[in-house]
Amino acid sequence: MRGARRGAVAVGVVHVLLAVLALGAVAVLGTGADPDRVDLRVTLPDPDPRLPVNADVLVIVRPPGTVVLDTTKEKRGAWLADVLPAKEANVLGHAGAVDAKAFVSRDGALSRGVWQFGIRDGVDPHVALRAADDLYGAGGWQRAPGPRRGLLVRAQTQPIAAYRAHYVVGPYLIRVEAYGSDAAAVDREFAALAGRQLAERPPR
Amino acid sequence: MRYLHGLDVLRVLASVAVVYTHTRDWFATGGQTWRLDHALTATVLAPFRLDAYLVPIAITTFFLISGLVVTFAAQRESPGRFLARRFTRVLPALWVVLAIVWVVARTGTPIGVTGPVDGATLLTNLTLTNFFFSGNPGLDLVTWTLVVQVCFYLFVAATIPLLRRWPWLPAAISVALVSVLLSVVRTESPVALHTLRVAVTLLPILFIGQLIALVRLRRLHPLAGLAYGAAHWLLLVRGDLTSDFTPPVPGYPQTVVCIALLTIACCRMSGRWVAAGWLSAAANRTYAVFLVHVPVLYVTPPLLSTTAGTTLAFFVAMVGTAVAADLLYRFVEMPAVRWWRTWENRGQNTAERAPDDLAGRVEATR
Amino acid sequence: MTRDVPVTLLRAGAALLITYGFLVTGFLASHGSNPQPIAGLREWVNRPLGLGEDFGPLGLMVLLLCTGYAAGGFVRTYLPVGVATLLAAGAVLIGLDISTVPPDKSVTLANVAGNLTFASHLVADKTLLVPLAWVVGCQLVACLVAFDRRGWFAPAAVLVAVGELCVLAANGVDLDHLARPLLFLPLVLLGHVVRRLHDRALPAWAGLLLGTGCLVALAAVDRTFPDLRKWWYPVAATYAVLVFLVALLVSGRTAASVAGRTVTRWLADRVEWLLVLSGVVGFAVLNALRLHIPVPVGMIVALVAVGLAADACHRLTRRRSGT
Repeated sequence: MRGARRGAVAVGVVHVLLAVLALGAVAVLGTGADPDRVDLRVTLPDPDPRLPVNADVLVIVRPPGTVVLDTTKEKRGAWLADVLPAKEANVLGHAGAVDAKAFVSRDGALSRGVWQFGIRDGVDPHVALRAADDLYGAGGWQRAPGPRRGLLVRAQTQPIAAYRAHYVVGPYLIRVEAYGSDAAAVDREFAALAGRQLAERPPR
Repeated sequence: MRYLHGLDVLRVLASVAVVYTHTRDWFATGGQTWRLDHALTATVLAPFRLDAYLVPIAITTFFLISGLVVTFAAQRESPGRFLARRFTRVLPALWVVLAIVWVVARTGTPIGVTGPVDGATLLTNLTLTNFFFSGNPGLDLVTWTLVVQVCFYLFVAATIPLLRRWPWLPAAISVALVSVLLSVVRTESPVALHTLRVAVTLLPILFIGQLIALVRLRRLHPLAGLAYGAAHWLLLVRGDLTSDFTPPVPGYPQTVVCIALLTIACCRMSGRWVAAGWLSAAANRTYAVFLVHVPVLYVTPPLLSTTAGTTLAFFVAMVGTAVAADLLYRFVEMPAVRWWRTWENRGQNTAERAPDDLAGRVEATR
Repeated sequence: MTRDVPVTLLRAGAALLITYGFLVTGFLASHGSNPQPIAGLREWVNRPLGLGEDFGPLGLMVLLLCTGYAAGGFVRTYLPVGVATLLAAGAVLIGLDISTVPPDKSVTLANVAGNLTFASHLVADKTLLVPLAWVVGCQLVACLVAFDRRGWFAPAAVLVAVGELCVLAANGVDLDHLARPLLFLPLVLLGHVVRRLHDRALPAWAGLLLGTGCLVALAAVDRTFPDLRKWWYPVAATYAVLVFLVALLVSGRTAASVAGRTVTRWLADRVEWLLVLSGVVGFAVLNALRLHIPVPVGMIVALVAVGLAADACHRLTRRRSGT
């Protein structure tokens, strides 16, 4: 009996020592979050904490067609430099974007895409909205009418017909795009995709 | 301890899951639509939220079963014998596959290897050190899991004396160790630290497999196993919540609970269909399938002068994977194990020979 | 090891999850509150597991699996709904604030009768005095299915009915009020099928077919009703089924020891009462006290009140039924 009690005490002591070691490491070093990435945090609103997943983790719709780029499965999406041209990645990065989740689909010569750029805490996503719009404006894309207030639409007809539209949802800059050689198809598909995205997640 | 046929079912399903996921990505690289995937995702995978979780399901299953069967082996093997047997099982097939992929890549044939391929590439891949130094392309993208496995083997080998006498002690130490390492390995740059973080984050899955084995062996009280298991699960969650990159996809905590429950249930499975020869044969080849399927997928289209995702390339790649896996198993894995066992038993009579342990028969953890 | 052990353990666990999910956190959520210990649990457990509504649906699913596996008598199963409905009607009439759907309650003879007969749950836009009474309705289906000696006909018939209702809903018929009952019902059937397999009253292939049919039906309902998708009920069902199977397969001495504890048996025997009375007694107490005492204290008082009410109802009905 005494031996069993001594054994139980020993087990308890070992557990306490190990717990002190583990908790001490947490107290001194932290839980394991990278301190260098604190500035890159994107805090999401949580409209319904009882949902099994935060509904705002992914706010973009999947475009129709064969998806050739899907960076939505990864926790933080893709690095900007991996999925955007260098200049664009630079501009958006300076404007506060830290990552990109995107669906891009292709059907023959027609491409459609919806992008979600996470904007880091402390930066107004509308700054990124203006930066993206100005970038395309400076590149010769013309302002085009949009289906809704808050959506900034740019369009071009040469070398190919294309639309790139941006708006803000919470901490995200959203891009809706369509481009291809058939201008009528591009018009139609962009309107449909933008309509669907805006119906699902209106600007806020 | 009888052979756990139920685990063969899980191993085969996990193998199918990992091949399915990589095949889906392969279709996407060729810009092709995989109609089977569309139909399956819409009807089965999406409702149960499995479509994005196939990789976690496969990885979790392999790790959990590995933790379980390796713990059985650790009950009766010395640390040296334990490590030797594990490496004999895993390394020869790995080296052969890597060497073949290296040779093919050197000829310029696309085989899913990106980056320069030279002698250093081969050497670092053979020793799994390519995951600790940047600028070294991986010859087979699935081999990162072996880094995690090796870390687990080293821990088990080091704690075998404790495991025999106080089975609860390695479990308690593993919880504290993972917790401390999570606090220490906070940054994931350079690549060595990232690899370390991956190992530390996913080790709890192997430890949960170990706990299932210890409870099944009645070496650990079920409530103690549940408590340590919950602690390891919370460490997995902590690793997930505190890193933007590791694991790269969500779903590991969810799949670990499901696969752990499924593993416990499958340990109880018995009957003719579970003990079927074809199932056992398929389960024994899961490691070989794991190693060869990606290189075969990516080398097939150029050899057929077509693109990834065409019907011809798909069927040829699937048949090629099955054939390559079978050849690897028959002519590399099994001969290596047999040779090692012969060498272990040299100069001994039948009574002195190493026991035919259960883990030796279910050792293929892939 | 008797079959009582796993069923007792599971029912007790379900009682805890249901009370936590629908009373404790349900009340807090209805007032937009997300206090720290609960927020922490959601961040570290609920969200990583993909379980919504704070484990409440998981508890319901485990309960329904157990009911399908070991169905009770029809009258005894119905009693909690009858008693709770009358209590709820009385509470509303005297001005107590309880959990109803819609929140602005109306008590008329028609809607009390509708609630007592489940008619209010079958027709859209009716006042539900006991919003979770549909769970007991599913349990009553289990009682009826248990009468089928063949073991396969009744579950198959119910699955076909579920399928047909999905088809109607997909074609525009408004059946949104039936979405949750339809999704949870296959779990009752699954419990029944497992029991038949256990008793060897059903061949393995038939059990596998029916079991698959239950999961397919569950997924089909989830796909048919868009409002359900955000709750990830099939994920909760996966956990429920796995926990149920593991409990049946591996219950041993430790399980028997825990199942034999007084508190375990108490919870297991009163789970249905706790389920239906949480919204009546629990919410009435919490709403009455929330402006006068701190919510955590009020919560403890409410839990005690619900516990006492459930205990009293259980003892009274057990005495009347002579068991």
